Amino acid sequence: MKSNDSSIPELVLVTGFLGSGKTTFLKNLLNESVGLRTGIIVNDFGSVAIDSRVLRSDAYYVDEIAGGSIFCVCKEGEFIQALRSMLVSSPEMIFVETSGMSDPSNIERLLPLAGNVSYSRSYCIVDAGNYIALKEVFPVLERQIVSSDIVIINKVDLVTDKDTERVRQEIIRLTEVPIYEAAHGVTLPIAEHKKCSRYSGVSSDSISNRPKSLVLNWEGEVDREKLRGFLEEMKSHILRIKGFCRTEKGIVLVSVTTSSVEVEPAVSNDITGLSLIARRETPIIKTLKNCWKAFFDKELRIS
Amino acid sequence: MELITGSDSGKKLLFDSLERKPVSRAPWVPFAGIHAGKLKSYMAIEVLKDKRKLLESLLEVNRLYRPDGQPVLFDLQLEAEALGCELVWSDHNPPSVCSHPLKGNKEIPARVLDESSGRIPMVLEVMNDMKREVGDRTALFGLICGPLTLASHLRGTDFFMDLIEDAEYTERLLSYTKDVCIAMTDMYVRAGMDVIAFVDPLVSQISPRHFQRSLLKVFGELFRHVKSCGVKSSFFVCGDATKNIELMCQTGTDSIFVDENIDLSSAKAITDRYDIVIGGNIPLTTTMLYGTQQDNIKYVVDLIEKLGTERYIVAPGCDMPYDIPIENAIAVQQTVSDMENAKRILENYEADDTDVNIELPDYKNLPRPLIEVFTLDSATCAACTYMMSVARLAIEEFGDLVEVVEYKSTVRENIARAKAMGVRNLPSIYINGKLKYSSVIPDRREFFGEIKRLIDS
Repeated sequence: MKSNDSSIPELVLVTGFLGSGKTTFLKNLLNESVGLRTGIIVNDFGSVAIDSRVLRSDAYYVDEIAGGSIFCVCKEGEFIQALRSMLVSSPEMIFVETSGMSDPSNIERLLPLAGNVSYSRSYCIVDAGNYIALKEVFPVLERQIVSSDIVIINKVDLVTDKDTERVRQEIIRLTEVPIYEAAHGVTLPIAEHKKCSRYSGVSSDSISNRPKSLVLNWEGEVDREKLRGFLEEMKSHILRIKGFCRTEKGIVLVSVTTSSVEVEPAVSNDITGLSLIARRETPIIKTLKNCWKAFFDKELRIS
Repeated sequence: MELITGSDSGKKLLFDSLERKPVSRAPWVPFAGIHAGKLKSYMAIEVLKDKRKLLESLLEVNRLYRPDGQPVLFDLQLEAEALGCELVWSDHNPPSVCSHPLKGNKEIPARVLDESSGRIPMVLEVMNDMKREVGDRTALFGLICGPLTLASHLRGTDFFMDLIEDAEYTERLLSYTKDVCIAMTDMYVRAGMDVIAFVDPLVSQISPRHFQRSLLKVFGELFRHVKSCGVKSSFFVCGDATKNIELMCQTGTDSIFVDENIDLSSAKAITDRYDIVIGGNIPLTTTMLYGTQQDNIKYVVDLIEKLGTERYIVAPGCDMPYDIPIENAIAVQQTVSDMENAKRILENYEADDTDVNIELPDYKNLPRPLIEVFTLDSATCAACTYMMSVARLAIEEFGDLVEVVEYKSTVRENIARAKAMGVRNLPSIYINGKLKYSSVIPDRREFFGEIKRLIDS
């Protein structure tokens, strides 16, 4: 879905739990997008469109999806329809603010159904004050972080530095994407975030106990169905696998989460292998080697 | 119309499956809530509020999709509305809750629902009517909003913090919503429902530890109550509830229905261990709403081949979106009824048909009107059967003045012909080479009028 064609609108996703400050953060993003034709899709859980009223202004085209999460299977059709309607007015940017309960791991599967839109990046806003308590009850918080390209620890002004650091450590266990701190949703300029767009490979994290990150490579092509089988077997052992690789049916984009495996035809010259992220405590290399052997004869290089 | 009752009925098949007896095929339960309205061109609000329109729509679902089990109403806001939540209505979607009587107010309501509350009288009437009309051959599902989701409707987003900060209030509120669920169960059982299903999407959002702490006892009591009423039970969940499937099995339910977020093979390995039936999970958006008939056939063939027919029920992942093409649900029904023919249809679509020489009629110079009926297979596909019946009636009416031909997709040449004609959906009726009816069974008077005009011209 990533494209350099300037006529294709960029889609930016803002996720985060209830009360984490998504709307305030989005308003700040919008202030930096002045002058662009901008569409906004808002999804409010439980009470209809309070967020959309906060955001509504003559400058934007706002659509809202109420009564559930955009990525609930029974709301996906509404989301696609809202996006299709929005694309008719040729926006340059589309911001999607999800409900606090949204699990955004399906978005890459859904966007092709809506039309020509380039998925630029996904933010996850984390409330520094209550993340640790919330994640114990609501596993979706971890899924939101794992699916994001940039994590913002918000409301750091309301907690101690020690608390912020604890939250950061918890996030680093799940992902190696850049983590920024914010107060009132204000963080680095948007230009800095753009460097963290999907597939750009930027990572600002340098702390040692982050999840294991590996790159998988092999010579030549593999059978696409066997590749799918291999990824299905691996999905319960990893947090994320993504990247491009060659199959007998051409180049494919692989995107694997703990609950889904996508292997879709793609156009790319950047065949650098598959990036894999797993929890540090998972004995991933042995699992990888055994699983690979079950599907393929050729050697798997793990770096 | 072919009437199936007694030992051959879909209802018996579904019951056999729920009782873990051997079955000849997997049962099929289309969750046609607001989508039922599409079959009769009614909006969501009409089908969820108007008794006559709801009944008419449900009977059409029963006729076209030939379900083994069928929900009467799929509206998770029904109980909340009757308890004081305001709803926002939409043309093509279920309503959503927009106000919460317990927001900012940690009380426990004294009132539990009864047969005069909100839209419940209308729903009970339709349940009784459905029982009378199709209850001998179709198992009827009474769907009830589960206690967790109902608590969040009543309390709003405050409830999520209650779960973390106030265990005592959470327990009291869940105990109250459980009592509401029990009252609903009693009413629905009296109205003839065969299966009581608690639909609780929020269950997928709760960690196993909190499920065990806050919900296991509540659901255990609910399913014990359903059992004591002498009917079957079901637990519906949407979203990625993978980690809670094992605990859901421990609630004592007869069956669990899940959506596409769950790997059905892995989940079935767990439900099999507990000797519980699992149902699902045809993807609603990518397959049912935006896929083709072939996509739907293929998905269901794969599901059944992977999962078998024991302890498994074919169903959409959740409430079917309003605009799902009718022909896609028809394709699912055909596949469930006759897997072998469905596989043959797929093979025919995928086959290289360059060696098949299809000669299309000279439609401009036909000696008499030509009615061509393209079907999946009129022997097993309900909608195809009705379409063929109407076409055969045309022969009775007009005799030799018309010609009627059926092209079943189980024959390779017929698929090649359908491709050459540009037929997109089955069943379809073409008259003199032009598409006249697709998926929808023609009204006899209109159909005959069309033929008569051609004969007279």
